[in-house]
Amino acid sequence: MYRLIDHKEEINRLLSRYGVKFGIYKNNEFHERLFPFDPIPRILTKNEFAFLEKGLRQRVHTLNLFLNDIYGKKQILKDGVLPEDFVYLSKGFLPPCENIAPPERVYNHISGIDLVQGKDMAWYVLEDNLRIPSGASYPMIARDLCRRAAPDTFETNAVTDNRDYGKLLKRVLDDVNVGGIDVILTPGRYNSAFFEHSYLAEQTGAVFAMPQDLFVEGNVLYYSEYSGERRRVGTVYRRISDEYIDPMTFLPDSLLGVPHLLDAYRAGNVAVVNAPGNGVADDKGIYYFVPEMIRYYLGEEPILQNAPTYLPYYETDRAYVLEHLDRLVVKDVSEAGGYGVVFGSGLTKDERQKLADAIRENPRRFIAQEVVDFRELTVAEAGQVTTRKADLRAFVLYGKEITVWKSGLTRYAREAGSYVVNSSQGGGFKDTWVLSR
Amino acid sequence: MQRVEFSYSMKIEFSAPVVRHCFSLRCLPFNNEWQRIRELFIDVSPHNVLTETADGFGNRILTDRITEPHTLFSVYVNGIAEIDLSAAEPEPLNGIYKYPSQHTACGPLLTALAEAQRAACADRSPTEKAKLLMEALRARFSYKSGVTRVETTAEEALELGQGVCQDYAHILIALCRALGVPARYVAGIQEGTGETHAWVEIYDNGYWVGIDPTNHKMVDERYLKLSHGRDFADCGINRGLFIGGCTQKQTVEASVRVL
Amino acid sequence: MGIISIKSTDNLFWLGRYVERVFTTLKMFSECYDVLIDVDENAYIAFLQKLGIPNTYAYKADFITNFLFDENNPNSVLSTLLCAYDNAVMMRNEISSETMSYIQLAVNAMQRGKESSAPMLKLQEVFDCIFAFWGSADDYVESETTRNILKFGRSVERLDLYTRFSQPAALIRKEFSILLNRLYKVGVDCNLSAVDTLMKIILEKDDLEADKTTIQTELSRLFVTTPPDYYA
Repeated sequence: MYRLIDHKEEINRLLSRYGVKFGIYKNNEFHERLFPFDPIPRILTKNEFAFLEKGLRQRVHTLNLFLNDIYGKKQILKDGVLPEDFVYLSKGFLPPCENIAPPERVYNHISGIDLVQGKDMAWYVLEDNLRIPSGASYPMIARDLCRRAAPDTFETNAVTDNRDYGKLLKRVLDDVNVGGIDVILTPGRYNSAFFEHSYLAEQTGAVFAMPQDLFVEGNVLYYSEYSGERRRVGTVYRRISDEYIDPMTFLPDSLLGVPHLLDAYRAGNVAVVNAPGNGVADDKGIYYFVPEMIRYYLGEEPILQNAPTYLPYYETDRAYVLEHLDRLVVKDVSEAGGYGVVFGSGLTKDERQKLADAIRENPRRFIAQEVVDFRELTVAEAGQVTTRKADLRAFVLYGKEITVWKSGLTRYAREAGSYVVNSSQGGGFKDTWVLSR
Repeated sequence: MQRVEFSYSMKIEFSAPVVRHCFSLRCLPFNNEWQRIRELFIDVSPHNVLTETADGFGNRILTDRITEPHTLFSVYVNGIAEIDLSAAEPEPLNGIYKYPSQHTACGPLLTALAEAQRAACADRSPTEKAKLLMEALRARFSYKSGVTRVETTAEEALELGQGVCQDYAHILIALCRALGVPARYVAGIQEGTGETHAWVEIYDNGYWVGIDPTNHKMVDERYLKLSHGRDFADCGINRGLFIGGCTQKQTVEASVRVL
Repeated sequence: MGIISIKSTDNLFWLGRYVERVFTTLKMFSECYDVLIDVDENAYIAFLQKLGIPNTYAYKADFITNFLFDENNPNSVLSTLLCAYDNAVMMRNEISSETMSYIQLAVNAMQRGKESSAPMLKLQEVFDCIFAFWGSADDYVESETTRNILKFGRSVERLDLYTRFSQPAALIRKEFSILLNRLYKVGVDCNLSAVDTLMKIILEKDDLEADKTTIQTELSRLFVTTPPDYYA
């Protein structure tokens, strides 16, 4: 392991050589940034991972059942487990996606579940990402470089190889394929996760497409080749958000979309990965109900817990939230990527009052959580070993079966004491080792 | 039961050729237990692989992608329908029609107008509530074309005080939903010759009941229904995308004739 | 894979061209630099003329630094290299991360060169990276079509620059026959009338000076790519 720390700079240089970057818009200009890598891995023992794996499968399975239900019979609403408001007022709920049966009945093919481990060592789910979770490519390529830098570390530690992500992903794309080629659709170069799109295309061997390479005719999606030939597409792993994928149904001025893609999907002629409309299930408001959903759909007790969460929508919760605003973290349900997250402790009296008013005015818009004091991980910063707060994004792949990737993206805050680990806000990343013993 | 002949024709003339013209047409009438289509003739020109499919609201759509350059796009639909409102069967309610949508969100004017009717509406059936709300709307709103545009929301239209059938429908939908009556937008054709029309359906005890605020009446068997949705945005009769073209001139003619 | 779209063909062709443009321009620049040292401090003016680039430089040192490194000038070598990078980045899955990394390394070397007190020494690294790029392309690029389009782009650019810098007719002829050879393999549309005109001039004449402009025009017409269409 010390070998890895010694080579931190060199490994980061190699990462830059392979273009391991993410894009960011600043003052309306596109910039590419390196994603800082810390070589000290997060280590999950065999037993710890087995526990997480079980909990993640349960959660992801449930969320898929929920999506099937909510775009179909909506039994969960009829049974009163979930107040309708949280579905119908969610930005992520897309009525044009109603009554579609996706191939293999899978909606959330790739789920990125964000977890933190408290100081009490208990794991909490902070967020489910079921739309286009990104980040798997980073630990995958970092592992490759670390193995070169310190082979002996890997000889002795029994670390499960995580470089099979491309294969796992390909299997999911093939599992749901309805006949035709697998395509990875990128909105283009100026997307924050472009590196990942192109790297995953390389790793899976899927055809890498831009929107203008694809078209729909007779409810079938095709890829147009230079030769003038067309290839039928059986699975499209699209890295374009829902509102842009089909200008005939969603935003009419989207240049990134493929007209009639939703029609082809509805007709069952192409699998869309992840399914459009998943936003309703990873909504911060819906998050509150996931443990209850697990009981409802599976009749099981949830294995992984949520962070203690309050819904101002309920009167008792609202009273509690307004009372304890100074120590809670409040999240705006319509924002993502670490935006719209406010720590009550960091607010002035005035700002807190404003927030309280906003909550009273529109309680459904917010959730509040106890601040989980997460366990810090060691990082090598400027030649010193110190600690930083870190989370873990676990990747769960869902095709004909559910597989939890034996790794994950560990993101850490660059500033001491900070809770903000998002790459768009300057966070770095670590590899995640799952031990085989 | 009423037997009607209907027709819809639309022409778009482009000032310069267009290519890669993709379109979704919602101009085929519902074919269900209370509106039976007995004859249907469709002509779309030019076309490539004309495909009939459905959307998430249950509307029929015609789609295609024309690759060849063209300066004229024309659609003609004609047929015979038998309309029998008494044959309607109860259906479950989709909750989306209870909530505000893009064009029907209540601002202060709509909220005030709805609240003013709340007491009068208490203890009445959804249909009676809708009628009261239609009266309240008509007292504040008059018909005039050219004042509003397709993007105009219910709140904006109410502020202008004038508009067309689309605006009448949006305002009534907003008012109904504000007072807990599920309501949806309907695009269709009304007896007579002229343009396409828009009205409202409200959900009453398992059935959708049509009400036409523009003409101040309940919908009868002389209305042909094409599509429904949360508001106008879900029911666009012609949604298209193309490359080229400069300017375009669109003409529409729609009619329902009682046989 | 062998499945390739119009847009990808375009990216590959221009990747080949830009990489070659950096390479040959730097070679010519090195010769010019040598003259600038003690023979003629205005030699860069003629150099720019040959490239068809407006002279926006105040003096010799301004030219040396900014022609190489000015990112804000689209004609600088660094800008050209960044164009190569833009195309390479789109083609990672076709050309492999390994091959792509050499373009990134060349960019890094140029960017370090800008800060260096002896920038000319850094250029050697850029040459090394480009050689490695082509070597890697031969080794790692699985699809023959992909390799052919890349190299076709390289040939077109090389011919263009050789003509501009009045290289010997024999050298140009040799490069042209490589290009013709590639044309048969490349399997993409090319403008046959342009091929015809070029053959008449390059294969039949010993002095190409008078036909320079024609050659350049025909070269630019050679490869037919439809510009990407976007929905209006």
